[in-house]
Amino acid sequence: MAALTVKELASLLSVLSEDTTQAQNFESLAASFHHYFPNKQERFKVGQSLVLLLQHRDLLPHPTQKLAAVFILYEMYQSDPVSANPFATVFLNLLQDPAERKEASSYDLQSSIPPVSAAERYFLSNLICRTSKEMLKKTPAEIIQMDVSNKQPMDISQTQLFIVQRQSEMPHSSKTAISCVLADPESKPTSFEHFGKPNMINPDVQRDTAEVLLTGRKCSVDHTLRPEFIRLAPPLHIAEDELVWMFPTDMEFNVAWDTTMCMNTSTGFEVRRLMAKAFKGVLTPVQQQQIKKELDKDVKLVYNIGLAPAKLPDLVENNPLVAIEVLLKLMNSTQITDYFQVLVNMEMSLHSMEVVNRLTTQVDLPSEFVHLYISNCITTCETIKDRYFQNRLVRLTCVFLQSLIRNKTIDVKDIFIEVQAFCIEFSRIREAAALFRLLKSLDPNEKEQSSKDGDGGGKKD
Amino acid sequence: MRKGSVSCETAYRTGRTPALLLPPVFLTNQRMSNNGGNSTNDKMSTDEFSPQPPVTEQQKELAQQAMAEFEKGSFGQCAKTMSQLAGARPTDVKVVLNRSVALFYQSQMKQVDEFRHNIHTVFNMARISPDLSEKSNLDDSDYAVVYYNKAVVLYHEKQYRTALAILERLFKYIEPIDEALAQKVMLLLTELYLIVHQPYDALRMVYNVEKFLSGKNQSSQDKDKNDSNSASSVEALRAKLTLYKVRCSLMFKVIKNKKDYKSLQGNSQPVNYAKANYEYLKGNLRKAAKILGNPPNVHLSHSTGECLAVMYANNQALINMCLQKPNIAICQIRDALQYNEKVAKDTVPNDKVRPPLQLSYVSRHYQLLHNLGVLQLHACRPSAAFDCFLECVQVYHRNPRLWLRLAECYIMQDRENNDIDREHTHRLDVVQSTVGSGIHRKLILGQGLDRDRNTNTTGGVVPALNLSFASFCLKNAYALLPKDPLDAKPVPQDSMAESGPPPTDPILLSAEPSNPLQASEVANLRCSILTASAYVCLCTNDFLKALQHAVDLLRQPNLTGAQRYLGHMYKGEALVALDRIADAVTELNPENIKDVSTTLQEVPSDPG
Repeated sequence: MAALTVKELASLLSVLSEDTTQAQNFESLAASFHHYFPNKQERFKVGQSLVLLLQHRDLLPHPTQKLAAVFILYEMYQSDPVSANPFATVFLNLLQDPAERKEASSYDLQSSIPPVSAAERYFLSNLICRTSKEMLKKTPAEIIQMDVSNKQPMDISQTQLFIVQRQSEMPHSSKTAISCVLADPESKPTSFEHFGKPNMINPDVQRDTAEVLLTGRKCSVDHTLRPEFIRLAPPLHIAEDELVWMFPTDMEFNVAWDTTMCMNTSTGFEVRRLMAKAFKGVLTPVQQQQIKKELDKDVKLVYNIGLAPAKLPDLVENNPLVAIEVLLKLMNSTQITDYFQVLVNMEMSLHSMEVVNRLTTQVDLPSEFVHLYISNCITTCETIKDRYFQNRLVRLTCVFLQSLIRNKTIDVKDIFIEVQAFCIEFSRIREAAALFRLLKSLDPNEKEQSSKDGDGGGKKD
Repeated sequence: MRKGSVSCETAYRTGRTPALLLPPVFLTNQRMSNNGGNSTNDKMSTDEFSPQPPVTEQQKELAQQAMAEFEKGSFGQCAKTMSQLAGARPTDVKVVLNRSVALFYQSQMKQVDEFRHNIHTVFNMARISPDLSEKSNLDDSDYAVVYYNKAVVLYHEKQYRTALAILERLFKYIEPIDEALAQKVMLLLTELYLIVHQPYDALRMVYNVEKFLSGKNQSSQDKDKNDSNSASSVEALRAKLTLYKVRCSLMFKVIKNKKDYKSLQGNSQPVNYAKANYEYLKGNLRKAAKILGNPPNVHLSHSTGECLAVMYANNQALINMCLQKPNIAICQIRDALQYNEKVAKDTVPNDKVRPPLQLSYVSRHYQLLHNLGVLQLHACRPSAAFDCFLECVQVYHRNPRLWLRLAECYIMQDRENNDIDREHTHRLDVVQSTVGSGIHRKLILGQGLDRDRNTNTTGGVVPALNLSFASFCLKNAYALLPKDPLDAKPVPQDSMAESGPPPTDPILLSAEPSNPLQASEVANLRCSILTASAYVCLCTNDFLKALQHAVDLLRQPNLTGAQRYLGHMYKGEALVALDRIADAVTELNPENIKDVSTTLQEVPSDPG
């Protein structure tokens, strides 16, 4: 907010001078004000200055000056409703009965505008209600001397309500501030002239003071002091392990020589070639033997023969012996579970069963894998439609299971119920009956039961 | 085979089902193997797999000669032999590769660009993807050496993550790879994991190497072949693995594993520096300083491209910082920076000199600068710290803590400490001047603290010590944090019951160049970021945001007393500014505050 210039202040003070306010009526006051301040934009800062002048009685000592200042506050925004006047609170403040104001006097920091007489209040209430233009023809001095003892001030409660309402819409924090300018009159005389006259007004000092307060770039007119928070800055973040400790490296990493250059490649290619064939068709025994020999020779070769889990079913169907060889070599690989996964899920056949059976005899397969395979076999047998194939598969499964049981690769207890149901369902097939007998002979519960029945039964009953 | 035939016998005995008989070819393997004489003829026929002519005896000899020369270190000879071999086998990828390796060594590892170019020629010849992204050729691990070499070059050029990406994919196919190379791959992986601060992965890789070693001891068939893997070198390797393990546990801050620490043997500098770090983390600072020993000479190791003097000065600075001697620490870090600059300059004095691969990038500038920044900030020199952090953040822009530090520099610069408001000069500002005299004398009051509050936030982000950049930094810091666990949706019960969450490593938040953050450290960092954000938002008059941050801060479970206090204060101030006076009054109830310590209590007390 820019402050007034020295020239503007001089013009304002000339409008408000004691002589002018004594002699001219309000209308001519308004006319000369508008002459000096034709711009609407300037009015707010003029208003602020007027309020500051009103607050300090030494700066506008004469009552006519004060009244003129209040009038100009009104006149500036005359075209708008009074409730929209930014300085409307000044009017409310002045219109309060001095008797009521007394209560607040202890908080009165001298900076609030001093009270006015009843005549002035009458004038002001008429201004606000815009009742008559008659009064504006009078001079401020005439208004002050007017006898208002038998006149009631106008009712302004409606306007008052609007103003209060507008005030309440503003945040509290914007309503809590005081001016940074405090009156601090010296009680001791500063010169001989002033001796014994502490309240004497010195026009030069008065003008200088107003100039300092109201003009210049850093003037105090729009400075306010408000309650404020002490805003503490947060402490530094505490991190335990933020600083970088440096470790020397213990290793040297250098570019490496390929030691496999011109080596092994021929056998590797040969095996790969044979394997590619093995995925497509049955290999001759010689070829199979060759693969086995090369795989035995080089432990790592098995990873290098173009085998992938997806290709395993083809290999199993075409060359189960090769598949067994390869799987045995892959047993320590991390990929072996992928291969098992494929094996379990591939279509059930003699060859796949042969592969699984052979694996069970040579290595410890994960038991969940074996169980999954068995249950797959059983499901396949049960769901197959073709009677001939079904018989064939059931016989296969039975022989497979017998082999598993006899080799003790699985614990009968784990699969007893499923296998028993399976045997009963296909009891028409001879191998199923044989498997059933085998189960019964091994079933520990059955044995216990029969032995109990044998020697304990007679005694008890 | 012998065991396998059991099932067939079983089938005969029990089932008597002809269907179970294997096709005769399977049972007659042995018998018919005599006829295999003409299988070699098959090889010559349409061979889709080998685009190259078979290796002749002479070429084989040449290859062996070249390898012998390579191992002896006579690279000039080796390069000649390889040129000869390459002339004979121009399309053999491995020959091309080894020739470029020989040439590279011959140039004392200085012709890095040529070598990189040759590697790419090899990739093109072998029609394999240079970064191993295509899966097609991966069952063929023939080219593992090429990938390893590429990773080594990247490692020395400090492109750790790219190197790691290649090796991680190569590791999936580690089994077919030749043992010596596989070991190298795994060790480089471990080193890389440590460098990028993934201690759990590094530890897993150490276990892999250990498993690999024990596996090798069992299979003795190759023992005579690999003389280099004698017992002593295995022993040395095990010592290195122990060191790696200790460094992993230091990184995820589990120091309780004393066994590994105790088994650290030897007096080598890597071991000593790890031991010193252990003592440093435990708070035995003088012991740590002692273990570090006397300052080494400023000298660059030509094998690793490291300068021990730089590390020594840096680590001593850290110790001194913890001993509350920030100024000595700052001097030491400055020394380290000087040494660092010197060795960097000595290695590459001008643009024309091409250093060997290991010395391509010797500078540790940014790590040192990061440390210097932290020290400067703690020594209350925010402006100097800001300059350090600003340079660092261009490299480590994923580190939320670094962004917070940048904002803290502004906060400290703007308000050196909280006693400022109580200083005498500030109190004198209550009455600024008097105007006039006599009855006209006026007091002009100061405007309180508002006067200092600089709220002009210019648009755009110019890195400078100002409010708008601080606010930008804090936004970055917050965005880089993982999602607040308080906002995470609770996992539905049934899915938990179905399959329990798979056991995973504790999640670490990367905070390069420092060690990664544990969950609790992330929580602390979040609190600090929220506190600073609320403060900065109040300064920019962004009260709604400030309120949000303060509310978010106050709901955090583990706040320090000071943070809780500030949270209430900031929230109160924001509420007043937003004209919610009644809320502010309850917020600012002194009962809310019982302690204002800046550290977390060990045992979390009851909230309130």
